[in-house]
Amino acid sequence: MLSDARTRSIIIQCALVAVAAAFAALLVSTTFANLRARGIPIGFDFLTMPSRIVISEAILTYKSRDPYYWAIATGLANTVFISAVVIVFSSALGLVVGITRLSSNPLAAGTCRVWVEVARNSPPIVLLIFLYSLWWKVLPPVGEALNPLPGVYASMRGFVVPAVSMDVATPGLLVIALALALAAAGWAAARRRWLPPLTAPAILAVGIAGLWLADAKFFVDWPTFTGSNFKGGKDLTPELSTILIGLIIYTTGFVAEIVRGGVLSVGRGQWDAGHSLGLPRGKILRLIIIPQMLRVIVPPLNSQYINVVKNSTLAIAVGYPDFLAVMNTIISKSSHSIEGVFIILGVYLALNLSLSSAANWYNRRIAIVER
Amino acid sequence: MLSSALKRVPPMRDPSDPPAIEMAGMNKWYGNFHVLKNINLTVHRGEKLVICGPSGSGKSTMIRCINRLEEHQQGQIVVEGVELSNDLKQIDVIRSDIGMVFQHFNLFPHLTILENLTLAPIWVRRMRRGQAEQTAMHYLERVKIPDQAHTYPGQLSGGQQQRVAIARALCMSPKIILFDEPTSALDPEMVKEVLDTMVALAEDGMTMLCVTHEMGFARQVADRVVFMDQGEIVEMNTPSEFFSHPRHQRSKLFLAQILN
Repeated sequence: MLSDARTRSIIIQCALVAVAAAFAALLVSTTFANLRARGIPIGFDFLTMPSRIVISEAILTYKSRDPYYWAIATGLANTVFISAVVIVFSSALGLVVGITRLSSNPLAAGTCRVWVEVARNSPPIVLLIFLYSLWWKVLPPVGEALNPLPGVYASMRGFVVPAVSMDVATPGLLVIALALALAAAGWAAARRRWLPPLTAPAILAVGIAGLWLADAKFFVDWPTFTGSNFKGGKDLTPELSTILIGLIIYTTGFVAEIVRGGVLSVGRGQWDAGHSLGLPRGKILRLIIIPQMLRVIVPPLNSQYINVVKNSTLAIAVGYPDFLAVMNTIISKSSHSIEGVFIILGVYLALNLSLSSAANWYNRRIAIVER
Repeated sequence: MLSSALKRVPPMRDPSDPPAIEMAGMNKWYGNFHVLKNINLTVHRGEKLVICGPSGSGKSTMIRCINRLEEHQQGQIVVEGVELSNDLKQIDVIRSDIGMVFQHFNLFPHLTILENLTLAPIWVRRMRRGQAEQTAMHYLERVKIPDQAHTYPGQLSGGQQQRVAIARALCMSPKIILFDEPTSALDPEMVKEVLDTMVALAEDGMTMLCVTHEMGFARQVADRVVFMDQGEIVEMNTPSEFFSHPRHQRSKLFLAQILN
């Protein structure tokens, strides 16, 4: 009976599982015993206690008397915010830079090449520290703030931009119009893989008509200088600006290379066929090359997105309170280091696994049908 | 193999009618390599030319110059009365009037057969989708695969893909169609279905330039056979004259090699 391949493999696997379980049990029991001997409490009860830590800036509303779990959520929101902004902007810029590198215009191609080489060959932390130091070296004090665009100010204290808010008289109508526009776009995208001409302007028109019918009013809060600082507008601190700009520059370099490879992976014959039908270059790119390149670039792009989430921990270098920075403070304040580390591992794992599964879903959807 | 019952009537020509294609003193180089040497060729409307010659003789490059997939460096190419220049807008207009069928089909693998056919009519000719689909179905019926309209190119055989490629070119109602070795990448049993489609097209009076080694097709359809070697047009004659009395040593050698 022991010579049966199936039985034998089951026995071997059971033995391996038993050994691994015993090893894990040993680790856990020793750890617990040691912690108890030193009088260090274990458990997740501390999460509901007031944290009394300071988070210098946050996307969510946070006060230091809020409980630990809300401090964790605040840090997580900061990390998700940084990652999302960097992913969106570096994808868009990477697409442009990657395609421009293949342009026949030497100045445009050369500029993009410099960007790619600088971004790819410098350690991201050096890039961040360099950019961060520029705030005090290059930008003037707040009283002499630069005003490159109306309502936009740049000084040592960061950027100040106008804040836009919207007031809608009949929000119901607006919601209906936006839902209609979204549904039309979704329907068009589901039926065809490319939209016929005029579909996009039509969808946009429905949205604008909705805004107009619902009598939406936009309010802009322009920043004004009051002698010592700016009043109104929206603040972008040097820390947040640095981590966003730095990671966007860095990630764009990698995305651009992936895009370039993707464009080159689509055969010369597809360009020939497009040209022979009289399609201009831009439309060949949009209708023929980019849809085919997507299936090639989605897997490597996904790795880059995961890298963005991981690189966002470099925020600690410029003092922006991302998830890891907040967790560090929490661990030293609460002395629940084991629980803290588990939360850190679990959160980054969950973030990156969600990114991967989203990418896999998208990749399956755009796969080319073969026999 | 092909029915030879087809009667060939030389196309009626009005002397004031401009030729479909006129190449005069055309030269092309790849770096230092002189690919096309002093090409002079006039193709009249409704004419069918078969271009043959050993590999590397510049046949494909020559017809790719006609819709400017390749740029020439010297001389003149005039297509339907318009000289090819660097004007991009004009090139796109000329290209939309010249259909092209490639050796490797070059269908768009991410689009269905119907979308392959309607893409250019919609985006270049600004045709309405319904009308473009109607035209596409008409041509799919002509190439005898209307039932494949909603499949993808990867699901079709080579012969079927090439017939779709011909239909795709026809959907733009071109004045001229260029064929670049349309049967060279096909399995032998699929060559006939593609050649039959091309013969039917020739019977309709389409202006055709065809790079091919299918000498049966040349005999049956061509008004003239152009023989090229080392970047030059060596000989140009009616098929019967070319096959029975080749005048140049190089033509004789070529015919001896491919006909045996």
